[in-house]
Amino acid sequence: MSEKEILFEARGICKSFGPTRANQDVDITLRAGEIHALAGENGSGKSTLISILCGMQKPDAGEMFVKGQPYAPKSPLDAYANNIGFVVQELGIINDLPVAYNIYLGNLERYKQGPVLNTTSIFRDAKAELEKHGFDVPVRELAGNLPVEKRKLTEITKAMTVEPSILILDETTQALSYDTRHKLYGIIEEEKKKGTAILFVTHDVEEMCELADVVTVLRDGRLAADLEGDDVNVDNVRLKMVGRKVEGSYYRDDMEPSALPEVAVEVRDLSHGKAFQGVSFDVNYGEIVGICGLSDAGIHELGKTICGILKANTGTVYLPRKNKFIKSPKAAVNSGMAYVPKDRDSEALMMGTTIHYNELVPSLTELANTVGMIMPSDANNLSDTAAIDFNVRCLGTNQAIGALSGGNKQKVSISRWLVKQNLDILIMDCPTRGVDVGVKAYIYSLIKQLKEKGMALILVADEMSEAIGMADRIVVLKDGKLNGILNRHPGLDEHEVIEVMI
Amino acid sequence: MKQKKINWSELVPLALMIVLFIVLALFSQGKLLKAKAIESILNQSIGYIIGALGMLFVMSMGQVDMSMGVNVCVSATVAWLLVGDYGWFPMLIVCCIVGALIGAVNGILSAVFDVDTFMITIAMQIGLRGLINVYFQNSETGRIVFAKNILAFDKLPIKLTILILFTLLVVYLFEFHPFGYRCRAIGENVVCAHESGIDVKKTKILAFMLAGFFGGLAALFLCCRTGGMTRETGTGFEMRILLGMFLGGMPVGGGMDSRIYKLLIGIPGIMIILSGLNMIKGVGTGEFQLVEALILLAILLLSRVIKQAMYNRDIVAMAKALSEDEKRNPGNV
Repeated sequence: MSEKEILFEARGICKSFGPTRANQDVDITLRAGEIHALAGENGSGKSTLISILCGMQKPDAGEMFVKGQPYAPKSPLDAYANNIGFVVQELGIINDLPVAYNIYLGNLERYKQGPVLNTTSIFRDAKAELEKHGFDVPVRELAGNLPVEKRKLTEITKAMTVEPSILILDETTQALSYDTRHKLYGIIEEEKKKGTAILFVTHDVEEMCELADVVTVLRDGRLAADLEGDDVNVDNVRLKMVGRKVEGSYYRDDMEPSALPEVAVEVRDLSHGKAFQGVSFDVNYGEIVGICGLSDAGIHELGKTICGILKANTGTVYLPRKNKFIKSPKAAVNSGMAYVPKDRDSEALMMGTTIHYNELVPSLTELANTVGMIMPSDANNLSDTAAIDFNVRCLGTNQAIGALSGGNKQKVSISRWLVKQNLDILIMDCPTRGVDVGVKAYIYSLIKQLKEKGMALILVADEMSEAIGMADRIVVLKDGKLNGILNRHPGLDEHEVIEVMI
Repeated sequence: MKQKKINWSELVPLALMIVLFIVLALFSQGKLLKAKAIESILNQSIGYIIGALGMLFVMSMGQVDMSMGVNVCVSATVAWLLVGDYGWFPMLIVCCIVGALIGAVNGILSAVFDVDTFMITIAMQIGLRGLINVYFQNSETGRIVFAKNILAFDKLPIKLTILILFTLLVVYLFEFHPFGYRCRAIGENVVCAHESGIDVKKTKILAFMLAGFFGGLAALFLCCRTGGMTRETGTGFEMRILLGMFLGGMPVGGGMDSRIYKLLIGIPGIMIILSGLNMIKGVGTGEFQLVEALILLAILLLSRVIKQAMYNRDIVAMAKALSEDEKRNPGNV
């Protein structure tokens, strides 16, 4: 270990959400002038750990020290007070306030003149602060009116105003374009020279290995490895992240596109408000089409508009085999199309009830017999079949769904559609978000099986690697416009997709 | 796969009711247990059960129809004006039609303008009550008295037959037909219901039409008990129904735990409590309402506490089962 001054220490951090153990006995040490990366798959507990360090959540157990002093933050304000600056994954911005106010939020005391705020100096200081970092963001604009990138820059600037001795960046680079990303690298290097401890999270392992001096790897909420020096390399980090699993078995092995000749979904000139405009493409049976783009590119809205949840301003979604246009979720469901939303707890599932009813809801019409009755035995059969066939780990289908782990909830969210008989088009929005490694592998194998069965699949992906690993074609959106469609081919990598994205 | 477990939170209301029944029976010096008292409670309950059968659909969606009481008054008055001379049967039909129309307006307004149904039905309640006041102020006697051919309806065999028929209809629609499941799914999570292909607007409109229909159907049951209508008829009707349904264990926010048996327990339950209080000497209107409120609070708090305890029990059991499973075959997910 290096002899640099220890600025921050966390010992034995534990945090559970219901039965899900997000962090189990995690230790981390940040040193002055060191760039420390936190690596791990989705759901491995990185964001939980960071939210604990920033005072947004309280750990169940464990202790933390800042410069040797005990640190038990009750709110992010305590983090600021200890010179911990941070940029979190979800936008920590208030949309209805101007950029300048957002920058000094939680730190407005010094602008107080009696009972009122000196607004002139807030705007002046904010402008100077942004210019110092070379960011071009209008200070008087409401934050909500800005694109995601500018909002991220606002947050970075805000983190810098606390003159951090510890700087925490959670997946900050993901939302940035190539050149702003490099500006951020500049800031990180500069802070390093000043002796700041930097902790950052990124999904781009190559980026991570280029920047970081030390890498802490989390797996399933536990500490998997602390790497430094020559151990910090792409292969090593990947291996530690995934653990016993090998990359090859995760995604598809074949690198050639394949599909049945029949078109399943025709998307023509589709638009939804400001989110995206004039998007056209086809999806065949037996084909997986990935949809990729930066945060504000409109990929999630596109998925929702295809299955009729969001109203299209222009354009059509047409299913040739059924001769149907999709204008509402009801029409989609009746035509054998289903949508698995990204937001599992508030959109996909009825969290207040049992697994049984969750499995039932999409199939109500089919379950009714000739006199229009749903017999309890048929209903029980359906939910038991779904839970057993899709390996939902539970005590029984009468169990409350809230007690399941994220991965098993996701299995319910997918299986409730797959038990429907006439289903042949499936749209999934980030189906492996917040599930652990094992369930992730299970879901990918399920997607492969569905493709082989001839189902048409649309995979809206936040993570490029998911689309690259699974899709036959990748539809890339940029600022709401179709910017290109990439075919699967050997050697397809993230750089190729990024080039089309930005 | 199935594992039967007693859900204690569902039994709380029933237990509470039994306790109250015993307490009231003691306090009323046994008056509550006399055959006449029981018949009167039954008679009283029928109209409220009919109303609750309609309220069940909207309540399972997490909504409430605050215009049901005024609906009783309006539909009976309109029906009396139109077909009052022809006896109770034509009146019954017209009441149902008027009631369903009022319900349809509630449903359509809230679906089209996407406004909270509580506010819509409150507006409906105030507006219709205003109309009723105007009508009765301008009438000579300020009340409507039913003739014999209408009062002929007030016989237990007729009323019980109608009650049983419509209870069976609601059992079919609510407990077995997809429509009932749809209402309850909307109560659980309206976004999930919508994205799962349920036509939320249509279901809402139909549910409110049903609530209105049953409000209209209940009209004759209530009005025959008092021999006619005044401007006050139906006041507090929906509140008593809600109280009874909560007492029976109906979840306040709607959802899958809404079941018809809960209203069949709860409505007679509230009637027993109200009649029991009436029989106790020295209980005036003030104490009466205070007791009503206390009962409501007790039910809500107790069910909430026990529901949380049940949920915690599930989580603990789950964590235990998982850790045992992990010991047996590690790596399984």
